Amino acid sequence: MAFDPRRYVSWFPPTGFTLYWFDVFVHDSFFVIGLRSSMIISAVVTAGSLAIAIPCSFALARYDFRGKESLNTLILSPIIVPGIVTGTSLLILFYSYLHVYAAMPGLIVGQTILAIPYVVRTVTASMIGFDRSVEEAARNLGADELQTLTEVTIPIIKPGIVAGAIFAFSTSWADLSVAAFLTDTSTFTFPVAMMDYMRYNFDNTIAAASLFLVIVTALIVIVTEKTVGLDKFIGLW
Amino acid sequence: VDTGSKRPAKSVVLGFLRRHPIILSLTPVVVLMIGMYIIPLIILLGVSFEKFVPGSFVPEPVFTLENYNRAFSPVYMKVLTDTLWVSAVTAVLTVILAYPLAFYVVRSQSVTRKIVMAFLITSFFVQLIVRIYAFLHVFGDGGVLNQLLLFLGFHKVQWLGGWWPIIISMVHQGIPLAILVQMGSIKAINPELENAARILGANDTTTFRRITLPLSLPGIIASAVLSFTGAASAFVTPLLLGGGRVWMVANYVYVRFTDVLNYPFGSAMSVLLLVLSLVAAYGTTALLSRYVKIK
Repeated sequence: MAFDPRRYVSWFPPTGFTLYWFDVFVHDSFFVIGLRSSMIISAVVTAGSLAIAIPCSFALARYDFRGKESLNTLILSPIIVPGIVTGTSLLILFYSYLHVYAAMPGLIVGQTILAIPYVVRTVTASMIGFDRSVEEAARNLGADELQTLTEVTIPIIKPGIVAGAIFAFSTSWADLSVAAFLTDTSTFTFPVAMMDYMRYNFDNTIAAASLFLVIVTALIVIVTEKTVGLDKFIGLW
Repeated sequence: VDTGSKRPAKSVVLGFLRRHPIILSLTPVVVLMIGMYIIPLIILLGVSFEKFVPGSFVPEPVFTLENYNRAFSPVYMKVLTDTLWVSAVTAVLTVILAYPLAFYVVRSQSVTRKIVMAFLITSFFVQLIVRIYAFLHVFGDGGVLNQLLLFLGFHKVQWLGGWWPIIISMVHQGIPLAILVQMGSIKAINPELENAARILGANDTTTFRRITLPLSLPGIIASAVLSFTGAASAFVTPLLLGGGRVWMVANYVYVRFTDVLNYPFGSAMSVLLLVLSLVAAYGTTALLSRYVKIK
């Protein structure tokens, strides 16, 4: 449908071939702004949730402490709690209480919260069964703490970290439940732009945008296969 | 620069962190989850008991039950019950359709397994909005389904505005995650147990019912809960596939917050949605795990 030349509400199958809709898509500032916001936000959310989740996974996988079970429940709860509830509560916090009317901080925080359970899960899974004597061996052979971390520990848990990053990115990239609430005139994500467009228009610009997203998805899957391997990726879940 | 006097303090801090690695590594996540997740939820609960001031982001801080009175009025109760049954049907269909696929991906040795897996992961990552666009072309007035009906000599049916396009679309969205969740417990089943049951004279049906199914139940429960809460909080799907006529709880939440800016009433609906999800999660778990014990 993305290549359909008909200029009105048109149904499958297409009647010819044109690149007109891609032209509309790339020149529509609405989509372009959305795409730019989405890319910035997803990158920050991925980096942020990794930075927060990796140390947490270390603690969960290696130590026993009081309240570990409750902490686990707390961290995994955003999967059960409807995303829309997370979105609305952050909206109230930022608008009514903190009087911050820019959407960016809330968006980043909200999507990080949605991503954290997935990242913690995959990174923790990659640490379970980790043979700690390898680290001790490195220390005995003269490596300091930092070297042991960067040369031994991180390479071993790398599949978990990469899988976590992929989860975090795609959670943020596809999120609508937080993003639908936290928008302002210059900050709205690409899915929100598409949703708003679809509410009032039904033409093939959406097909062009969808095709673009499908290509991005295919790239994510290819990157997953090349870095972690699909089998391992599924296994980490 | 006066580093001399700072160094002891710094080394005290570093030493403390080195001796307490758990505190160091958990502080960020705890600060984020309490400060930006638990506290906002408590504020949401509080706001749901406050009074709406038209045109203002900040509600009047007086205690009132009017938001909940309104939420429990017949109009909204209808929305709530609709949301409940639609989500329940979605969850049941998702679990039933996902189970054989999960089983196949875990147990099969064939080449097609890799293809199924690639499909699974691709559809896990495909954006909701793209799926909805595709479903519009299936169920729309001139969509594929109606073209097929016309071709077969039937009349066109107006699908959009009914529940089925929404349910089918939500099942389609839920299946990949359900498969991922179910795979864990299917993988954990030792095939020897099934062999043992067969050797002891059980037929395939009995083996499945008494051994395989109960052992894969944790995954089934988890996937049922996730599909239910996912469907219960859906608002984009009903918004775009509902033809403007079918509304779920989350749609009211969305409109109250973004169009009318009635935060207190929107909060009350959010709280109801949250309670609904938690009750469903714990209810399903309790119900299904009792079933296992009796068997």
